[in-house]
Amino acid sequence: MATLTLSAVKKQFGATQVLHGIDLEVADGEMIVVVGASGCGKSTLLRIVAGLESPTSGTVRIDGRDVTKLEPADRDIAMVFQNYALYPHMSVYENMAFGLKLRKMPRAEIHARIEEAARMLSLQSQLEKKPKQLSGGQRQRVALGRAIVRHPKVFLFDEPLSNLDAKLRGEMRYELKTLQQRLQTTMVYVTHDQIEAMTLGDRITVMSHGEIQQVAAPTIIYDFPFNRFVAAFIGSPGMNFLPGRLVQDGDAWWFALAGGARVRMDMAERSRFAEHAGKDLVLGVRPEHLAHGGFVTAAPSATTVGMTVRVVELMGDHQYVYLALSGQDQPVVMKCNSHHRCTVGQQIQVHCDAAPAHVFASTDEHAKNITLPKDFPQIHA
Amino acid sequence: MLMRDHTAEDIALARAAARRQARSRWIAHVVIGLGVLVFAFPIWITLVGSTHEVNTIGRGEVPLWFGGQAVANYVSAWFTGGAQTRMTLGVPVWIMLWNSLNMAVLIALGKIAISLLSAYAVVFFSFPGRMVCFWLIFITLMLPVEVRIIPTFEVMVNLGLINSMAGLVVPLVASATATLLFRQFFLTIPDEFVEAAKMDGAGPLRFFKDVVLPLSITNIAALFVILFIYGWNQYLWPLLIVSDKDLETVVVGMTKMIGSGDQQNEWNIIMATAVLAMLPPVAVVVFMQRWFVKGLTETEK
Repeated sequence: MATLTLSAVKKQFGATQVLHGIDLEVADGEMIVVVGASGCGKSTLLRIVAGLESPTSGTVRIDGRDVTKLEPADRDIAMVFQNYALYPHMSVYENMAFGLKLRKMPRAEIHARIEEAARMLSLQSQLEKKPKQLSGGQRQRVALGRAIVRHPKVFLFDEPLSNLDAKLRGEMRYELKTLQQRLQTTMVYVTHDQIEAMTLGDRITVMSHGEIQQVAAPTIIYDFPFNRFVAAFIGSPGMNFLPGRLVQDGDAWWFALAGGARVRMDMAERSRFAEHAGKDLVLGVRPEHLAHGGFVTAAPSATTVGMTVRVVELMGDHQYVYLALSGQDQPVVMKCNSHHRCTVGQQIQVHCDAAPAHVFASTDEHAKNITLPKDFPQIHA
Repeated sequence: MLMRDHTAEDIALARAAARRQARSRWIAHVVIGLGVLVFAFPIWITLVGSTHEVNTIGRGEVPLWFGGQAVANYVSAWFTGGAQTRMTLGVPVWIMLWNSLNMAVLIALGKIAISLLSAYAVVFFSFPGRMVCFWLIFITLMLPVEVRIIPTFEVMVNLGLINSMAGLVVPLVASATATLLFRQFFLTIPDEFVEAAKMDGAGPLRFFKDVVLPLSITNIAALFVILFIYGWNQYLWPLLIVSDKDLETVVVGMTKMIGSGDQQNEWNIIMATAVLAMLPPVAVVVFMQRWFVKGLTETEK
């Protein structure tokens, strides 16, 4: 039971600035997922919390206590590593007991804690085995168990599922979630997988280039990305980005795409359109907000754009249709119901739902979203 | 698909293939047999020679089958060093074997202990001059004992370690090779183990004792075999540093049994001594073979 507070944490390796002043507040019992591409500094951040790296400046507080200068073992934290880091010569039981023994905990208490953790993780029959004899999923559970028996104030996870195959990863995600609901302990979970972030996090922290891009609950991150980076990172397949300009036509605002087509911008927040009119902007639309709007012979409307089918990926109940749009290098991805029959080479009208779409202030990778509600908080929500 | 009966041509081809295989198997066996003969024949001569009486070999005969003097020769070698005819030497072989055993075990264990610790320091600690230390160790690889034997001898004289077990062992006890091997092995230990140990609250010595050492056990065993034999076979250094008969090692002592030619050599006793001198290294290899192979081939991770 503890809060975790990072203030102005910076880290430099030689001349390379890895973290540019990170501020983050994790509430008691909250699971926060730090997500970002490799090299964005998320692992360094976690290692600073763990005490395996020391920050160049800034402080780390656990439950208000400044632990920046403390050894990892004195911080009352536990960490689960990507490669499990189980000692190969020790049995499962000894692996879990090692840290407790070093703490001079009485044998009976060690035993009780291991029994409890083993029950929680269904490892009772594996306690005498060596890590080598276990499957990947079981090893991961032992690594979890080793963290649990410590009864730490904060759990740290460093990409714990990335060594598992897809099916097992799904199962372990579920187990981690139930475990978190049960333990009610503060957790920091680092991953590059946005699906893990969406499913596990109470809140998600999106990082890029050593800076926090946005901190918010999964639904807010998904629906109100603060900038283009967040919009691109969260969601699979990713958001479509269509370059173009905003033009005013009477009362209505239109987004003129590079290829010549226009889409009417019916979104709620249009107050910042005027100041950005005429500039090179980017329209962001998620695949599920595009829809099959009939064949090209159908009359084009204010919200449809003509495109050509290039590739169709059938997923079962739905399909992803990759479309070519003139003036656009990247294919546009549309998610639609499988009963819409799309054949390669076919020209179709694509209906674009502009209400949930976003406009980004420039073609830059980190361009701000200018369609967020006026009172939307900056970065931290 | 249509099945086709074997034609005469197919059968002939199959026979030719079988013949070729048989022939290459046969050649392989001949080669390996010759190899065994080359290596084993001198040992056979020694073994057989150690069972004859002194005059047989003295006459210049090389017997190929056992004689009747085995027990007498070995008893004589073991207890008196075969001094019936030459009263000049006569260190019992059991003393020489005991000295050799002490020296070889101390050298092997000492080398392992020192190189484990120095490799541990070089790999797991970052301190100023770490790479300098490593390279200094590495460079000594290129300087064998023979090259630095005169300064080493002088140092030992000044320390008063002439004619002592310490004088025998200490100059041979640091090993760049073993340090290098342990360093290479330690580099394969994942960083995450170190970090997990830090989270567990294990200090450097605890990590060494509870994680690094158990992981290195097969490597240690393999190195022990190599280093034991290295120590056992030491010749030049013991020859220089020890003149006291009570500290004679068997490899050196055996050559001292061979006289300068003014007297008849007791070849039967010398050969018995050679056989006895071979047994401990053979025993170590046989006993530790399983570990030895494991240590060289297997990584436990």
